[in-house]
Amino acid sequence: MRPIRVLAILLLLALGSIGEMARGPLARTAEGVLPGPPGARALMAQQIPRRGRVQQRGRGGGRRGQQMTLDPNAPYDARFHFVRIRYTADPNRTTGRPSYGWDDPMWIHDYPRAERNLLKILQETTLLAPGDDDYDVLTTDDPELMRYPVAYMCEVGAWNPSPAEATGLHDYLLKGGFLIVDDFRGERDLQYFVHTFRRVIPGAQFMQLGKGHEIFDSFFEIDPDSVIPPYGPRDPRYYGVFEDNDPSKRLMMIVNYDNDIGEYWEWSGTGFYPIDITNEGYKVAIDYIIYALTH
Amino acid sequence: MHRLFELLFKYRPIVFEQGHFALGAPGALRAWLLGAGVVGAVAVATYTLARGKTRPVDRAVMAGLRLALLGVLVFCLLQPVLVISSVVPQQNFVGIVIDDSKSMELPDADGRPRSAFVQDALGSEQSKLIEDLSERFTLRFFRFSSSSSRIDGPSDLAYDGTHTHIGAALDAARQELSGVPLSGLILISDGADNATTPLTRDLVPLQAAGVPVFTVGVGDESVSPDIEMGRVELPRSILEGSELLVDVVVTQTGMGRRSVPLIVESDDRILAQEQVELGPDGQPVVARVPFQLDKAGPTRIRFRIPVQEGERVEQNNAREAQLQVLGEREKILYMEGEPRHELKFIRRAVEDDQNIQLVVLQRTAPGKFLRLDVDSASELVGGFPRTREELYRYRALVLGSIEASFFSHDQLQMMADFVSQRGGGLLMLGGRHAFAEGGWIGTPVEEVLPVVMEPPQDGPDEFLAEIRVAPTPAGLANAAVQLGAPPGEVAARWDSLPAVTTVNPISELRPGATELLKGTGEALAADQVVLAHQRYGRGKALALTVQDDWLWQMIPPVEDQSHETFWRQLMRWLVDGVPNEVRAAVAQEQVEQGEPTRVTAQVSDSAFIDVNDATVTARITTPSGMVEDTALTWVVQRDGEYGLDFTPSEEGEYRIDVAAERDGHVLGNDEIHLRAAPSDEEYFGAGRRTQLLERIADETGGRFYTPTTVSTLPDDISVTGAGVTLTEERDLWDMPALFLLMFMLMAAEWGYRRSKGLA
Repeated sequence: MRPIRVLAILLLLALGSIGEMARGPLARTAEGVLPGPPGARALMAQQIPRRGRVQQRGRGGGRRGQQMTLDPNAPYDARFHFVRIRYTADPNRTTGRPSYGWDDPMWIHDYPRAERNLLKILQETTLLAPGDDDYDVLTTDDPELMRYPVAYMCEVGAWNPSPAEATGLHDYLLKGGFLIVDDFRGERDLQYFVHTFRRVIPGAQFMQLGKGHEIFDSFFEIDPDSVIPPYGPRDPRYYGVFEDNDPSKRLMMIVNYDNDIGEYWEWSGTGFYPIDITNEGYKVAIDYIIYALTH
Repeated sequence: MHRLFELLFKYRPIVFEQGHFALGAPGALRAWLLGAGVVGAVAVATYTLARGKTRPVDRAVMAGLRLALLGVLVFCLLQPVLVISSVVPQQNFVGIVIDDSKSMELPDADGRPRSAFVQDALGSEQSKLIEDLSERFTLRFFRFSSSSSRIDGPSDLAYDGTHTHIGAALDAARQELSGVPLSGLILISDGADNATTPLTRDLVPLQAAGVPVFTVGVGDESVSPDIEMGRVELPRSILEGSELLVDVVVTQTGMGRRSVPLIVESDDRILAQEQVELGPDGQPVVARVPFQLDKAGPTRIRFRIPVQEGERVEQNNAREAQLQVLGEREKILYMEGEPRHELKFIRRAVEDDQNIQLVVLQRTAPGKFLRLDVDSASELVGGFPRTREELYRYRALVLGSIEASFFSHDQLQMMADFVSQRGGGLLMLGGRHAFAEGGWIGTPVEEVLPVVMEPPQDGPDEFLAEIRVAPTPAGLANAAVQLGAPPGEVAARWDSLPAVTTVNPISELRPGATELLKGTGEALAADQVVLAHQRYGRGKALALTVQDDWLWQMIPPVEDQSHETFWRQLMRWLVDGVPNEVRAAVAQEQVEQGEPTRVTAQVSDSAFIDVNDATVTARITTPSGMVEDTALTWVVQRDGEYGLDFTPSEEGEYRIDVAAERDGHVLGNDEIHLRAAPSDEEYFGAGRRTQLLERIADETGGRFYTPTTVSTLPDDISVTGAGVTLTEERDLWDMPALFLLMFMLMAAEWGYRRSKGLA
């Protein structure tokens, strides 16, 4: 299974690079703000069944050919829980891209090993002291999400929120929620995500964050450019969306473009990735969470 | 009543009160009693021995009546007298102390001003009262309002005084007449005393000197119809942008129950307007009015109710108060022991508040801290402050979920001193490591907190209870928990907020603490104390025992500002009134031109230890712009207190900047304001205060009169015993009451005989 996965990743990396070469690198403005969405590539929002084939029935997880099962959410206790966002995806985009050979929806990638490992690391390195099972899966239109002001969403290249999901996320972010977006690559996906996100917060500007930003020094002092993406030799970038598009105000969302720190969490302890690189993935995550809890 | 008494007993009651009883008959009392006994025995024997158709009971009744008659007769023969000391005519002085304040010009129900009595009774030498008094005494006249002085007569009165200081006026008159034989003082006033010193202090010298005060109360006891606003209390200072919730007491008499507007304004700008439903006659109602002050500097607030048609007194519809609106940025230190959502949301709630700087020391890992919003790279670089100077730079301290054992004993003691000595605010938040669960029982901080902590229950599961929060009656009156809702909707606003949780079961308050918010929940054995506060030394301490009030931000609609408002008001309240190293004050914020007052300053160093060797200077800027520096001198009896007597020489606003230094090092400074202006104080509580005037008379041995009873005053003073007196005996045997009694006894015996067929 692992060689297949490695081969798949290499293939994807190659495809992604080709695609990028064809389109040219994503233009950056002087302020590091992405340009507006490409209207020509506006996509029609199409609904897919929210649950797909995912069922919540006891702890566990599965890959390829298995029907993924979700662990029950941990009861609310006012502490930090790792919350993964389950979202509606555009079936055209999920079917139009390489399938990676998995049957599960894209939002569930790395679940639940990634969160379990991250929670362990948080227990060991910080005073956050979450429980081993303090990880949940919620949709953005679920009122329960408001009890967890930090959330994680991955593989947003096919994210296609329903109006209720978009409204829910809009309110979540404006009230004080913080969203970590991870694990997507290629300008096409980025432009798609930017465009889709503007259905949540119209006019939202994605501002590039560099080493000097507070978020990269909230627990560990790290150089985000040194976090090598598991996809291979790419140029990861970090975008932030601020309240009122004002960088002096609250950061509501951070976007790991061309990177996948969740991948490191999932496979840490298996030796699949080098320890140093894995550590960087954890450091970024801890910085994000500490920042989200203090800013 | 007194006239009837005088008719029956020959003299007025005061003569009996002042004199003592004696028998004037020659010979020994024993002989008289022996003679009376013999006569009585004969009388009894006569009735006992007589027979006929009388029954024993008839004989007993008639013997009794006859004995009583004989008894009265013998009493008269004993020549009873009253021995009294009466003044020697024209040998004594009487001081007439007349109220010269504005309230004496208020019209009574008959339309005549109170001062009309003065004119009628004392205005001419032909008036009966003056004539009677002048026959026996040498009269001296005094006027008084806030000060008193000797005058030639009532014609010198202007009735323009803006205060009434009765006690000081009486004592001043006593002192001025201390060199002459003084029979007493006559006080003519409506009794509307508004002195700030206790009256008792001024009455003691009068009592000691044996000077009786005869009070004459003028004016109606109740001014009707009228609306009157009670005194309005404002804090000395408040942060710019803070919301104030002020209770205004309004009383009506004779106006009927109606709704009137209450307007709050400053510099001709209306800050708030509320409708007030007036209560029944004489029953005060409390109007609660919220408003915000958003302009830094000395601010005069005016509360007024527009004059209603027919009101007797218009000036008592408004009150003014002064306060200092501070534009400073107050530093609050928030120590959080574990990363949790609470910190983020509190920071966010106050981040736009230009007057609050929330400095955060967040422990993220053992020995690892995150400092936020510090002023310099060195601030808190060593972690939590280890010296008083370092901690006392902050105005308030917020303790999050952090265990007591994190701190050294010195730091814990320092935190307690921070509240008690420095006067700072302390707020402990609920959390896994807060209160008893954080091991705070038995620490110096425990007694600072307004709640009683019980040792946590041992068990496998951590206590967690979901609670709904509601304001207590005290909370409804506190600006910190209004959530920006209109006064009548505060409780409903709280009810609309989602439930929160607590891990610190706390249900008991410390004695003297006040509960502002309470929580109810199924998992609770008793109602949870959610927010409580208490004064502790110079400062105050608060306890907020929930751990996730940020749900009030996350769950209500986006536009809901309850959480932000709650925290801004709470933080502002926490730093409200926290003193500086130099705290200046003035005895009264408003005095009249020429009225002395006192400026004081409490001076301490950066560790808030009182300093007695400082150089303290007051730079006084007069309303006309003149500036003069005057030194304040140390008040030896009180550590750190310096004082200066000051008399404003012109009308207007005085600015007083007080600065203190020691050995060339500036300790601090403060700014206060004093207003020199005529006061409307006379128009408040303008009804005649009979009780006060009666009390003055009772405590000094005098009597209370009204204009209708004052005619007996000259006679009463004559027998007070003060001054140069003669002892005289006044016969009592010829009292009409005795003859009437004898006649009645004889008539009773005759009537009894007639009724029994014995006549």
